Amino acid sequence: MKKTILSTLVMGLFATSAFAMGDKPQSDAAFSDKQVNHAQALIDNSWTQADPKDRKRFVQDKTQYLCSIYKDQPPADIAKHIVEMNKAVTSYPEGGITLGDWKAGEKLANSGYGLRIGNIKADNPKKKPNGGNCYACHAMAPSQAAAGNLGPSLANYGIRGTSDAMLKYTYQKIFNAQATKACSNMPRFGYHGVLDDKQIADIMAYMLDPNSPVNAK
Amino acid sequence: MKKPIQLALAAAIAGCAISAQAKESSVDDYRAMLGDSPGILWVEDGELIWKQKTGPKNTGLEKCDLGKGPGVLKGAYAELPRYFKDTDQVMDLESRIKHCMITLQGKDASEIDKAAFSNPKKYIDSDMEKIVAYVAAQSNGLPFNIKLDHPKEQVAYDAGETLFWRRSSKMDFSCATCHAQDGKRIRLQTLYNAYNKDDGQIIASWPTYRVSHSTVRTMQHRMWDCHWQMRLPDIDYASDAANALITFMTKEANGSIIQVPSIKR
Repeated sequence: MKKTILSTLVMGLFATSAFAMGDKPQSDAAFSDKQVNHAQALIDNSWTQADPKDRKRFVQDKTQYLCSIYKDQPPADIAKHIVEMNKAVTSYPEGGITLGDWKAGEKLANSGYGLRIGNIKADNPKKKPNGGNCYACHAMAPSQAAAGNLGPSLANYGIRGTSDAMLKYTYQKIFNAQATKACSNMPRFGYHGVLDDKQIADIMAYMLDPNSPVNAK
Repeated sequence: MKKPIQLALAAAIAGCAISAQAKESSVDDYRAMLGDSPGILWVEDGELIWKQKTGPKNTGLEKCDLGKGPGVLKGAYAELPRYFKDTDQVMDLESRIKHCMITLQGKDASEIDKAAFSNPKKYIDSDMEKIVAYVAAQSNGLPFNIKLDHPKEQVAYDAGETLFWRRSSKMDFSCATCHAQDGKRIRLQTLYNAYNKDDGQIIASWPTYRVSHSTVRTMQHRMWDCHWQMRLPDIDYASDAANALITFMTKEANGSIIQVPSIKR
């Protein structure tokens, strides 16, 4: 775990401009350096009321930068590079990947709480833990009609069983979706520290436990 | 008010399940419902506030130039955002109204920003929401017609599109994560696709009465709301970034007929 935090910090330290000037793979990028720099100038002058600590959220890591300039469709070599970078910052729980409590996972799948900031309507981390908000994008339990469709349906996800390969794949998708697919729309929940290992284990139980409503016949 | 909305929604949902023909008529029902937006009350208040003598200079806003000459409101919204020579800036409707409040009425910029969004739960009212509803409604029935004739308009459009795809923060979101594909939803909320000409109608339906907010919300508020959901800090009211995004989205919505204030969830 420690290694991941360190890598996250190191990656976070790079400013956007560092990528725009050096490290130039973007010959066919959707946006030119000039456009990217102008957009950055607008970020610098359009959040003047924000807390400087909060403004750090605009600093892109290399994955975010590359996906942005290619409109989420990077060429094959850069896509491969993105996947490799994200594999390198994916860490696995010390005691191995295990399933937690599917009922706790169900709550997390339904909750979109957490990490909203600002002076108008900020989330309070002391009030409620971060959610996984899975239902915003995925169908899961067939009984839950109010499910989004930005991501694939996960209904009956558990019929595939709980082999080591399934556990690893599922964990990886939640911890860092871009370790399997470059520029996936899915947030990198573990990498960014949105969800901790226990929460991921609970969500995995909700997806894989035969008794979970996700796997209702 | 609440019950007819629920009935119309139920009709719309039932209509989808039955047949294509029924779907057609449910869309008509839905459109008819949009005609009954309480937002009309904001339009009526907005007209009074527009003309009200107020601020340190004790004047109304009748001489405000929204791009078609001082005092010309008809069709002004259909061509905004646009470049203004006097400020050497691309400005959207709200930025320009703010500019007029400062220059004509002598009001303070930061006070205008603070009062831009109402908070009905705390009984905090917003003149801006009413003025925007009033001015935008004077373009009802007209298509959006953003020309990008001035080089700075093209620069704003390009910056807007770049920002639209810019991923950041704890969820890796950009605007495009939700708004660059057809037929997508968050939960049951359908998402507009900025690149689909038909979805331009969504842009042309703002400002809108938001039932869940109990007030008319403006496009600048929508910019705040989306950045908040993306786990980013509060965007400055009428800022360059907001205006660039609005320039990009409105240009993509060119040709869509303005019908405001509509009613939304």
